[in-house]
Amino acid sequence: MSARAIWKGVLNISDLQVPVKLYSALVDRSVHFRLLHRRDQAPVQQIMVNAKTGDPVPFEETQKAYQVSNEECVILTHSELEELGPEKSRAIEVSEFLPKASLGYRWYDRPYLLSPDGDEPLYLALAHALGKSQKLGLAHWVMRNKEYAGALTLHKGYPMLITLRYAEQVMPLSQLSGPQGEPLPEKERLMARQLINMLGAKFQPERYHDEYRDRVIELISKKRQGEEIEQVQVKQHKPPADLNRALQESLQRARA
Amino acid sequence: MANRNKQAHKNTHPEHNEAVARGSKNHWENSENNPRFSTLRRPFWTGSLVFGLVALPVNLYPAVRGKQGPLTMVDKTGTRLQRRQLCSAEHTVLRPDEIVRGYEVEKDQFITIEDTELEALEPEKSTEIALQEFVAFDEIDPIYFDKSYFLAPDRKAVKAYRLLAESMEQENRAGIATFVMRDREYLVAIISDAGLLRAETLRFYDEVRAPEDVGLSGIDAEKTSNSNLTATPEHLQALIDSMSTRELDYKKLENQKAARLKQKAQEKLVKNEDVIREAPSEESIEAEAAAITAQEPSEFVDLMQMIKARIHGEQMETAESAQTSCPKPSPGTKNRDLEHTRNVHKSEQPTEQAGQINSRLKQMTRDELYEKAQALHINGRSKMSKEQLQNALAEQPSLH
Repeated sequence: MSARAIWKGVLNISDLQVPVKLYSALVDRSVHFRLLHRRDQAPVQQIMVNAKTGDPVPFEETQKAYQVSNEECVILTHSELEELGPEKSRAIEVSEFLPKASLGYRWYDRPYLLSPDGDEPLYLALAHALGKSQKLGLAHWVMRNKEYAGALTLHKGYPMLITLRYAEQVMPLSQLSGPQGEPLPEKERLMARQLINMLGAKFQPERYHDEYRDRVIELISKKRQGEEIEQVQVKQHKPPADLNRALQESLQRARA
Repeated sequence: MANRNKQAHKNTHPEHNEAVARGSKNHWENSENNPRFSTLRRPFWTGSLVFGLVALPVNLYPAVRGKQGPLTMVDKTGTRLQRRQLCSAEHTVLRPDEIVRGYEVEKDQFITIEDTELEALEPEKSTEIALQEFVAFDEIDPIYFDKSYFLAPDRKAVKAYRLLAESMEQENRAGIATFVMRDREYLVAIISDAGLLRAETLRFYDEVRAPEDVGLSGIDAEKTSNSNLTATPEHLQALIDSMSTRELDYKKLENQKAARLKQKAQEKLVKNEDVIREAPSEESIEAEAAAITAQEPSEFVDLMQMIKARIHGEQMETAESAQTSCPKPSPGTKNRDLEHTRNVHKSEQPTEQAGQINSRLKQMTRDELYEKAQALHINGRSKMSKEQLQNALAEQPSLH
């Protein structure tokens, strides 16, 4: 089953132009609910209301404003907003290439797979070069009237763009560090590291499944058939009274 | 604050590079340009991190947040609007408790699902992050990363937390687990950095599209040796090298559109064009506050301050002691927030009853409350009502 491209663009890398098609790399598998009014099970609609009176306001009467202070706002008209909006373009400007380690994963938002749009050999040359350089490109583009910054990298050997969050969305880590305390006992440090090593493995994402989703579907089916839903008790966890013992037993278990 | 550079850690770790690149040119100043990072007072998730037979109680707080446009919606007269839910049949505005989740089994036929029923589906996974295995962090393809959360330990679990954090960092491994948070299951990688544990949620394998699904596997790899190539791989590599930089300038990740909107608004303000001014009467502000949902400012605290307080296991002090020991920040100081926090000492005053604090705060005018809120850098203060300011000040955590 082949997905459809959501957009077409051209990677501009200095004088080079690599035409590409973009595909969303995410598949939505979640169970979708609707919000309902409890009493009559009528679906719920989103509306805007006057914050003071609570009266609904039809969409045609709404305006967008920039709140300058608590008491002052400036209305921005539709035409002004359009003018301020990004210009339509197919260009994906790649301004530089960075070491992979220069960007943490917290910045990554949504991934898009790229396929060639006409010039396959050039696309493949790019894929090869990206792979060898072990770098990621910093890209900027406008798609569906929104401005994006993204990382140009590879997924299983194929070029991919991952959109990046804005600086204001990502908490800077430099000001945070973990809890401090007395130096930890050597024995426990060794045991912890041993345990980590024993549980060491290759990352194989295909081994993990969303079981909760299955349970939700089961629940829906049970309710539909009018079955009883059982309540389950949850056991509480307490931190180990004897950390040393807990680690030792964990190691024993892991060895078995 | 731990000196990150002292960590015996490879410089290939992205967060270290980011800390250096970003920290020195701090875009995180307390200005309207960069609204402070705030979060709900209650943790996003509470449960235990399980490592072998070691269980340590933790709280999760978001480390990233969603995109939020700088614009508000107003009506013809410039009055702020709020989002609400309307019953499509009766056309009445609904309260949160009047709303239930439904699943459409047939057209217009729904089965309702209660929160308690969803919560009971995977009780263990809903309260535990059980680490199954530890993988090399670099092995995780970036396509899997979704959202990021901080783990703050319960006070009694600090030793175990530190032990796990240190060991994982030294082994340079991430712990993998699945758990349920807010009615969804997540695959998660627990990462240790500078003694702080973070949970990076990952997408499940079946949620990520394979290259075959977009027709990529059909490309003939032999075509790269075609002599008609516009550019060879070698040419491209040279190009990449010529365009290589060592460090990211985080200015390039700023919200350009928001900046343009702000500029346009300020231009219009100066010309007094389309400006709506409201007399800041007590009634209008209170009325506005009354319509505000639980997600609004008074429920938020500064994430930075809270994380620090939680991670370092400190008590939340009363507003009184916090206020008297806070010096007014000097204008034009960068990183005002950090300097401010360093200057505050734990108060030696006896803890007063919450009621007494509130009565003192109640005697203050809104302007006086606002000034206090400003000195304490309370986020969202400009949009708060008098009552919200009182609440926010009464609950200020201590700053160490």
